[in-house]
Amino acid sequence: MSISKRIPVPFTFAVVLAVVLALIIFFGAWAVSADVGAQRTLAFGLPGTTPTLSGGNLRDPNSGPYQVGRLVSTVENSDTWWGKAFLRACPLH
Amino acid sequence: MRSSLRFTITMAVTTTPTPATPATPSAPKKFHRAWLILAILAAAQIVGQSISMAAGIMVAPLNDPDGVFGWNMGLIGAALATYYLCGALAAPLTGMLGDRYGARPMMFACGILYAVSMILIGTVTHLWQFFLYFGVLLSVTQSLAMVPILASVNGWFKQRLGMATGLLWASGGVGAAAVAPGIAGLLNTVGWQTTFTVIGLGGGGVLVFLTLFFHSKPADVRATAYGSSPDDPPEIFRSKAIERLRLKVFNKAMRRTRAFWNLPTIHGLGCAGHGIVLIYSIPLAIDQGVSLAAASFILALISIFSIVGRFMAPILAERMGAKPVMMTALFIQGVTVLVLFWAHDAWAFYLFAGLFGLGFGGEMSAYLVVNRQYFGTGPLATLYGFEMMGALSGHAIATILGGLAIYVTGSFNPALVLSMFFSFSGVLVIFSMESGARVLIPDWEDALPPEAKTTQQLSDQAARAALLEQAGGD
Repeated sequence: MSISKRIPVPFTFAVVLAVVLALIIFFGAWAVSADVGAQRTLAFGLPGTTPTLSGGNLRDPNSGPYQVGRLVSTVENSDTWWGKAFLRACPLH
Repeated sequence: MRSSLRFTITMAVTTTPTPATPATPSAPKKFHRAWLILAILAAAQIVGQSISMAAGIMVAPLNDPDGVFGWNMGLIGAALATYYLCGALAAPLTGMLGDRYGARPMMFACGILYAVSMILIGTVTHLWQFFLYFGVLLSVTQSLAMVPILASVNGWFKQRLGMATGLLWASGGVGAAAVAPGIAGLLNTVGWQTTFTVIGLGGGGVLVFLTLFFHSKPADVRATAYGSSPDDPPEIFRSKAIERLRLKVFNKAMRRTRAFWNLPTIHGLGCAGHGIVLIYSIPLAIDQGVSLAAASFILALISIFSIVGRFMAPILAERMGAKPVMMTALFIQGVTVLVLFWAHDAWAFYLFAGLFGLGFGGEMSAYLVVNRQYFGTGPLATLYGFEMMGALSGHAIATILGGLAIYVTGSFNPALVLSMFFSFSGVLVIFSMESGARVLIPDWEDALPPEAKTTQQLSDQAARAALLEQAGGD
């Protein structure tokens, strides 16, 4: 077999992967440190919560993009393990 | 390990290849079996698309505080994330299985799994059951439907692969638009359990039934691919050991090319780009004062116009080369997002939806043609599986990053910037890729032992044996 076992990961793939990870860490740490809680009612429009042709699931103020209020717990995000991990990983927060 | 390799090669040496009987070359005007296979694949696509449609529609009843479930959106979102992640992990595996065992057993397995998963979803009473049935079982089912079954069209069309792929994607889009109201109507009239039992038995039954008429590749029914000419060497049946060895070496050669890594990256960037828009365009429109009823048409328009892109992109990619077509589609997808920064009225959102739909549809549908241009007619379901892995990861990234960006800034604009950034990054990655004018691994068989290669001598032997068999039969 002349094909070696080394897998040549191209530069573009590595850069895209690194940038996406950096963006997730940056915005994640920002979200934890800002701790804006339930103010952002339009964030996290989860897939599937956008309306179908009838748009019925948007009529309910407790559904879809308006759900952040129900996601919020009494624990501070910065005290959770994932909150700490984001803050530790991001050099800007 | 070493002894197993030696065994494989020994098997390869002692196996004599037998030829497929060459069928009558495809007459251009005559109905070719490949079109029947395409119709079956289109039906399988519609069934496969119904999974993601069901995902969108089942959220409201699951979340209804006065309903049976009353689960909060965080938990449902986690189940959806599980669905994306399991789908991303399963896609390469189902692709590999498709290359190894053929698409027909995958279609049968998909039908059974579809029926079982949907019926089980109808019986859900606890959250863990929903995670297992929807997040794991249905994601694997969809991977089976979308990867090995879809990729099998490659073997049936030597020519007009672009048109065949375009028709497949377009029918999937039309089917999805028809299935969504159907599922919603069933939920309203017969309730949760009966709806999913009916969908499971119907969709699963259709897939299992279609397996009777479906064949993984033309040689399985002693036919030739659409567009084959009499001068083409006959397909050679090899032992399973040799086929496995050839697949392994082909995949190794593919992995050494930049395109193997860049294509899933592009699909991921493209899906992240349109994923953000699909999730947030309606909340944005409502935020801008557009009524809910008017805003609901945005997604419908995107879906309708995407059918044009889905159909045309593979055809144009086959004629003009995939690179310019994919770059154009992704550029349209990215640049049209600019409209959203200034859109306040419903008509502006509709204008956006029409233009964006063209790019969005074209972004996703040309991959099978690109794969052919870069890697020839080899077993490409594995590669397509990795591309689907990129696509599903892109959707997961869109959900996470778009949500975070809106959450921390309180504005949709950063999410829109991210969408454009992903789409334009995809354009740059395509630009950096090799030309599709020549196959990237023409010499991949050099790494095979002589008895596993497709030499001219072997082809001639196969053709002679086939002619003798035909003469004997006459």
